[in-house]
Amino acid sequence: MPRRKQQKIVQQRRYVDACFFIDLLTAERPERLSGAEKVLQAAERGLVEVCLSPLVVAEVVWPNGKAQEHRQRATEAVSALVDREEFYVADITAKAGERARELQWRYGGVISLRTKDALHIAMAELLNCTFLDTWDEKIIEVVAAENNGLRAVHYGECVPDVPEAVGGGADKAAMASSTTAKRGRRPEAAGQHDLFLASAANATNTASSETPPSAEPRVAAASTIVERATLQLVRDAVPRSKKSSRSSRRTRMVPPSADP
Amino acid sequence: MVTNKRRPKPTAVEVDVTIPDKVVTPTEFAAHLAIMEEMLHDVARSLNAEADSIRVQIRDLWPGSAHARLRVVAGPRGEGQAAPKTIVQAAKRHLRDIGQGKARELHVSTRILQLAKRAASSAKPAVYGFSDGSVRLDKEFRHEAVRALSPTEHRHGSLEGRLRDLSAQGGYRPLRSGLRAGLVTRHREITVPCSVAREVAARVRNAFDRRVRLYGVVAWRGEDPVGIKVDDLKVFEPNASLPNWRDLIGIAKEWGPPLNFEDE
Repeated sequence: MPRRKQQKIVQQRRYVDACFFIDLLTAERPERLSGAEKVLQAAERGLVEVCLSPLVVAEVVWPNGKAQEHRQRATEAVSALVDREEFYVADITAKAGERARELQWRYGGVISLRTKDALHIAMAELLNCTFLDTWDEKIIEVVAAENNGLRAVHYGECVPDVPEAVGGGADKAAMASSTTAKRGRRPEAAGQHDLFLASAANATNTASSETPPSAEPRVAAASTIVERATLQLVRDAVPRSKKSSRSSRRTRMVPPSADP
Repeated sequence: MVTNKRRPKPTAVEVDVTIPDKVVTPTEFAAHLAIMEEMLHDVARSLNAEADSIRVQIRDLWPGSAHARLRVVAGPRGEGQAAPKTIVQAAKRHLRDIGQGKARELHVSTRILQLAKRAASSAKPAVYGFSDGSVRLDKEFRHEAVRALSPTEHRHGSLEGRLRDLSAQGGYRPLRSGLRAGLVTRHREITVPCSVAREVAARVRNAFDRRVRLYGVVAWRGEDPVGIKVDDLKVFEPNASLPNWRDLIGIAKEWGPPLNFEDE
């Protein structure tokens, strides 16, 4: 019998969308690039597992302009990234399709949530990811409105900081406690959405117990929480018809049939 | 004031492993001890977030028989985790449920079922004894374990993991029906039996002990894969052979806007 292996401790499971790879390869926006680098450094050290769907692989292409001549190089570059051990490309399942359909019904008409974005959210939920890394504000808004334990953040936010995490401390403890429930689950499992929703009650605790490593992410995380709380209040108290402009858009995001 | 309080002794629970037969080889006996240890660790892992929350030690060995007593104690990371007693009781409950044909309801993990099946596959049935009863792992037990392992659904998909346990025949020449292999999945390290189509048998053979993604019809038992009929595969290069991601930064700077760029 083979010797029992030491289980690898992954602190976080994060889902990344196509922008993550595009920003890395184009390096045009420094704040996004540094965020992506931070995620990759943490993944390299085994602190983070990066999940994605085949949708991401299909999206990272440059079909227009002079990139056609670099097609081979672009393909190899994306493969070199997603083929790394720290990346996990999960199959899009029928369950993900059903969940994406539900999201489309809720938000498609209100903020023009696209099918691929709905699928990204559905996959991140089904894979039990703690964070969805994106700069797509629509995705961030929808995930905040759903409020079911997943957090959509700009990449680089809430990534375990390597030196501090190794040394041990409040950040590490908070991070470890928040991800304890996630550890050991199987991405192969496509049908855990109910379980995931069941853990929604812990979501607020999770959000508040995680201390982002730097001031900027802390502000961003706080604003997300405030936004979420506001949405919840709006959902509970304010009639839809009285809303206007941006707040109206947010209010209408909440479907009339959605359970509180 | 200095108190001379002793630290409380860690609670330990004992489990017996016996093969009630006159002639038992060391391999047979050692296999059962290893299975019991593996099973207890698996149950501990399913109850606790921390790995190594328990330790399994040999407490006693009886001369002239294949009978050992194991002691389960809290491990180095056992603090704040489920007690060894809870873990042993859960293991006993799982084994009892398998034996009574109640394990189909998915509360017994696929890993435990696979171990129980392996334990019961031995020619000489073993008896696992707990403080309040024992479980006999015989042919009937194996039958129930096999039944409980049957898939609940099949769907097209892929599995990622490391290829192990290539069938001996496959090592020399592909069978008419293809070859058999085992895929140790990336997550939870479940060994999934693979039935490989003849067309891809050679590629599978060459991918032995490498990280692969197998494509085909996957049989699922709840959330766990329990089999795959392989019709294609992708062999991953080891990380060391892939270009460093730092070298890829900015390579697309001059390529113009990517697909869907205008949407952002």
